Amino acid sequence: MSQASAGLEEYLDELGKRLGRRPEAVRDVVDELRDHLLEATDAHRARGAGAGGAVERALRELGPAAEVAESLRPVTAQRCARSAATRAMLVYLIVFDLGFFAFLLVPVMRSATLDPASMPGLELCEWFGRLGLVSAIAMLVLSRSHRAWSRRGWRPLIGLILGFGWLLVLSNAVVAPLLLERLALAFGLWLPLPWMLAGGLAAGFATALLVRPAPGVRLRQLEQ
Amino acid sequence: MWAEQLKGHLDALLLAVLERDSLHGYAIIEALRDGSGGAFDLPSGTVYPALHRLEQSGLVESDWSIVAGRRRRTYRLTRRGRRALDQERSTWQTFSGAVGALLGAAP
Repeated sequence: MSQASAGLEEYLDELGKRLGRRPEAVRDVVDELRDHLLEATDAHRARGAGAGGAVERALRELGPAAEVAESLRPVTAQRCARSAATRAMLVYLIVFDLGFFAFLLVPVMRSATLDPASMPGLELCEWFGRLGLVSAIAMLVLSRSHRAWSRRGWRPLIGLILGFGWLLVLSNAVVAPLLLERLALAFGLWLPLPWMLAGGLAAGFATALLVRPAPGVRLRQLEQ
Repeated sequence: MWAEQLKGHLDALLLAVLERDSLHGYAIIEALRDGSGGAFDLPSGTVYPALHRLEQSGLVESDWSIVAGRRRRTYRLTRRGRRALDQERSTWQTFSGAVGALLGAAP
């Protein structure tokens, strides 16, 4: 890699870091700006600039990485929020289907009776799950408005919605192993406690990984 | 040049540039510069957030392709974007006509 293109990649690296590492939206932005910078560099070279000078000029025209990241942050945050909310709704639907399967379908098929009321904390977790779903829907609605992501006044509301969104993780960590245990019971199997605990941890961790707000949605990034 | 004065009009200008053709980001900036006779030489960093905002609003859409071994995003106007551009044009014509009538008239 030449020194000129190393400078360009260094700039894009910094931009990517400022926008957040994970989400696809950030990767798209970085790829798009790479294409821009290479086009601009080619144009400057065609006008007679040297390799280093052309890259330097292209970078100067685009502006400092910090400023470009700052101006793009509301857009990437909005996009990441939409994708996180969609995934959260999908997760809720999966767990809901699992519950339907565990409490209605399987007991009927197996002529067994399962009483959900005997499960401690299940009702609370159901409410957590519902709050998580409501927050995902609210996030999806908010992700359609650019204003919400570019104005400071909206941040407390976004923070509240994100907070409620995490209840979905807690809910799944408890509900998923209980549902699995009920399913096992309906099939005449017994699920040992360590397995249930491991299942709970796995379900909570998987939900957190799937629906965690992408870095672009983090409030501290919006506040910069 | 004119960056301050362009605030509020950038979205409409981008829609107008995309009305003729699907373009990638750099080509859009070039088209803005060339189409204005060099007057609208905007800092490149201001154009991309505006393009993304227009996309989120459904006024433009984009596709990815591979050109010279790198990913390229190309924007094009949607039907909704075309309607928004017509509206912007009509508003601008009324506004510029009114301003022109006042500023253009010598005492």
